[in-house]
Amino acid sequence: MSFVRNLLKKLLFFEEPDEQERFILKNGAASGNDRKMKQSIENELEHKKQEEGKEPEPGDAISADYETNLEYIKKVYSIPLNSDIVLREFHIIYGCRPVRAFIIFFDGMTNTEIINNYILKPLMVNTVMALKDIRQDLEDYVSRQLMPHCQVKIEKSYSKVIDGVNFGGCGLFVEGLSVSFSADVKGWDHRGIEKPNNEIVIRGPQEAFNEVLRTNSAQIRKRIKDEDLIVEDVMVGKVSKTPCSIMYIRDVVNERLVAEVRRRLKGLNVDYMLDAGVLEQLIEDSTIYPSPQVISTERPDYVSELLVNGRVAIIVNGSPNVLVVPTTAFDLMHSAEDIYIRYPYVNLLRGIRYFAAFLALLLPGLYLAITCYHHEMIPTDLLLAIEASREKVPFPSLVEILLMELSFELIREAGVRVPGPIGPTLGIIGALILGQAAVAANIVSPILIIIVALTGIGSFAIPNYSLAYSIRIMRFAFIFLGSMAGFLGITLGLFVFGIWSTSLKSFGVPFTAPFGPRTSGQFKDVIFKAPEWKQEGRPDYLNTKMDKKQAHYSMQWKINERIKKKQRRGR
Amino acid sequence: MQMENKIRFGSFEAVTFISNLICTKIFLYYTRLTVEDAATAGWISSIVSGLAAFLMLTVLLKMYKKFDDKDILDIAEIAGGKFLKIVTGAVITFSLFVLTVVVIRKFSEDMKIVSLPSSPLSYVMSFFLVGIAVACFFGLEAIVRFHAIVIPFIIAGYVFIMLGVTPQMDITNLMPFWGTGIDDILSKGFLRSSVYCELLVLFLLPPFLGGYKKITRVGYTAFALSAISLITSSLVYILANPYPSGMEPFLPIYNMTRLIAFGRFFQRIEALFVFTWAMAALLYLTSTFYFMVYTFAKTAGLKYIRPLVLPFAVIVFSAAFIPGSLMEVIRIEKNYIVTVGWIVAFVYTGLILAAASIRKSVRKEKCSK
Repeated sequence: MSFVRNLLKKLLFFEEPDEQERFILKNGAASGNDRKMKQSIENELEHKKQEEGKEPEPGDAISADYETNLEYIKKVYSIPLNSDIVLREFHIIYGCRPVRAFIIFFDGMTNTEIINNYILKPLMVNTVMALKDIRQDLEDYVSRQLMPHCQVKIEKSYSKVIDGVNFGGCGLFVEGLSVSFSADVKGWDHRGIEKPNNEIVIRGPQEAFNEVLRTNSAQIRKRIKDEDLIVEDVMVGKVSKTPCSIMYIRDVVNERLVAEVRRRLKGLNVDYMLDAGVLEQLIEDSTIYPSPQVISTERPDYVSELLVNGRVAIIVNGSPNVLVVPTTAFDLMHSAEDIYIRYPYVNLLRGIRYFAAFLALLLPGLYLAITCYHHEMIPTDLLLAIEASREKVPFPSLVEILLMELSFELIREAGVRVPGPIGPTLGIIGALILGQAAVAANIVSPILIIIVALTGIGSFAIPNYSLAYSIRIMRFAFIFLGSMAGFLGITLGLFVFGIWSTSLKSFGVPFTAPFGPRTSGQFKDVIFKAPEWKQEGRPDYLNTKMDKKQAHYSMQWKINERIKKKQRRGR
Repeated sequence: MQMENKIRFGSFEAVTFISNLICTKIFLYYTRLTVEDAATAGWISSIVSGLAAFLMLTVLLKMYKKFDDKDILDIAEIAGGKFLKIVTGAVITFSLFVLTVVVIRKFSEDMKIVSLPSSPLSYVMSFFLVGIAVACFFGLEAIVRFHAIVIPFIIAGYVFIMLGVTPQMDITNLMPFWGTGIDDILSKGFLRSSVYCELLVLFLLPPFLGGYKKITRVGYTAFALSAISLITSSLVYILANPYPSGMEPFLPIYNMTRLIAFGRFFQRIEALFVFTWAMAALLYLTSTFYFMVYTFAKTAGLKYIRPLVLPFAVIVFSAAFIPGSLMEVIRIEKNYIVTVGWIVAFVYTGLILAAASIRKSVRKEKCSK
């Protein structure tokens, strides 16, 4: 009841809207003194340095007293109630006297072989063999001589050590030292790098992301061997503390965009964030618009291509999908394979995809509009054929089409949920039997089976999974509009959806760019693709630091020596 | 939504926006009107209208030079203070209101006849009204961007119609060459410069477009595009229809599309053009409705326009039923909109600009003294 009351109140009475942050991706070099520019990459670097050197809060500072540290850690990790945490006490020999120490790590999340061989063994065994007098202080001695492991950090606060341990690290506390040594010894079981499951290509790399953050960032880094490729870490989720990485190419990307991504990630106040799918919903501009406003991909090669164009990638630990921002409506119709195959093939495929999207979105609605309101446009022979097939069907066209569409969605959903090889079988058998039986029972007309099948096939040809979902939802709106007012209803639907789309932004970039608003490069790689040698510029609407990604004459081998000399002289 | 003075859009968006405002009447009545005015010389009358409008636009743009970035309401305030601003706001709001009401009624009637004969008029009209209201909720930025995307398709549809009737064209339909006489061509041609009356909106755009140069560029480009479309539509219509059938009062261009046939299979494709002209109508109505609400809000000094959308939509819906029949709407259109529209769009705007220029120079003189 309160929902209805609120709805009526919103419709009838005006409330002054809250001032919301409305980000527009302007040119990064335009002005240097607005708020966004203050969060530039240089400033962030400084900020990180300050964070690292910052003294801990009074209650968070590690004590020099061994017992205090031990009690604190036991209390934090609820030892002995917590069964997978391992706390191992031992002695280090320092200057012929034993010094008490303990390590703390999670069983199952760490590589115990590394802990045994490169942490415990040197600390417990090698110290016994030290023959000379040790003049170094204990902290230096432990970090420089006794921990032969590549990733060891000296931490002054409990919280940082605990964060490390929670993410597969090993914390070492030594008596008399008010610091702790945090070693990265992650070693949990995970999937290897496998073939992509959903974004399959015939030409191009066959590697997909997996659930490990660093493996994913490394997969991108091995493709873009550039020191300017930055990986910034951000924790999301107060309880889950999910590590996320923002990736971008520093000398290409618009710094405002990076600042905005950072602002949105740091501005999340949630307990849990376990997957890129959740993060996508938390950072997108419009949460009710049906289509996605973020590219989600499982292909590192595609992410690399997008990064080189000046976009920003967000990797979420535990998710095999990487998010890339910003995106436009046209990017969602691109496939990773478009990069690797020759442009005439790309153009054919893109044409087919747009046609498929048209079928998936509008075909049932248009069928209804034509059969209910615009019979005159059907040629007489075809009209007679349609009418003959519909003669024995007792339902109106709308009921008929809704029955079939819902049955199709049912089969599709059931096919996904049924395990293993039964799924696709169920889909095929279900569709065949149900369709055939429905026609035989005169519940639907045969032409409708063709309509629904074409619609279904059309939705499968859409390269972006989320976009295909949104089209499936909107199709029902067009069915109702087509049945309500024929072509006028469908035009109204297209108009409203179009206006909604043009009002949207994805991380400050208009969703319908580069056509609305019009920017340059519309015919390079938006709807259709120009030849590879013509792909000189980065998307204009991204306002990148470097406009060009290849030379005007990228195929230098084609230019003869005389012109080359001329060019050099010209430079 | 706040008054959107902060938003800016490009020249292309503005050109498509203004052009659609002027050219939508091609789908409604324009071609028939030229035939009515000068019979077989309707297309020459159309050129005369274009020339007259061009001259008036040039004069207005010259006068506007001093008021960089200011819209006609601000200029009226300079000319005659708050009072003149309110009067100008009322004139513009009322003009746009009449245009919206007449066009929504006309399109709804036409749509009802073409494809929804058994539906009540209010039902058909509500589809247009929903579109307008939703678009206005999303704001001007979305509206102009959508124009930039859709207008090329509408132009393609228009060109397709023009080319599709080529087999039906007959050069003898242009004879007698001077139609009902040179007097009619000149006098009615001049009056029909009112078909360009939507250029008035150009003088509401400066805060969103910026600079005098940009306004001039947009004004002339939109005018050229519109004039070419209007003249060609008139010429093709006369070429494809003999004079008596050209006088048919109902949807002239739609009737022309009925002549298009490609082979034995594609004989009746006129229904497809419902998309083109319904989309053009929705864009036109959204534009006039938005600027009607915007002008009202700016004149009244209101911060937000969104709360006004629903009440204004209800008023437009109610007012659209005032004319008793389609013929009465056509009469209003012919006797008022396309006859005196030029006075509001060009003469009134010119007077405001002139008064403001004088006031400005007087002030300047006083200051220098």
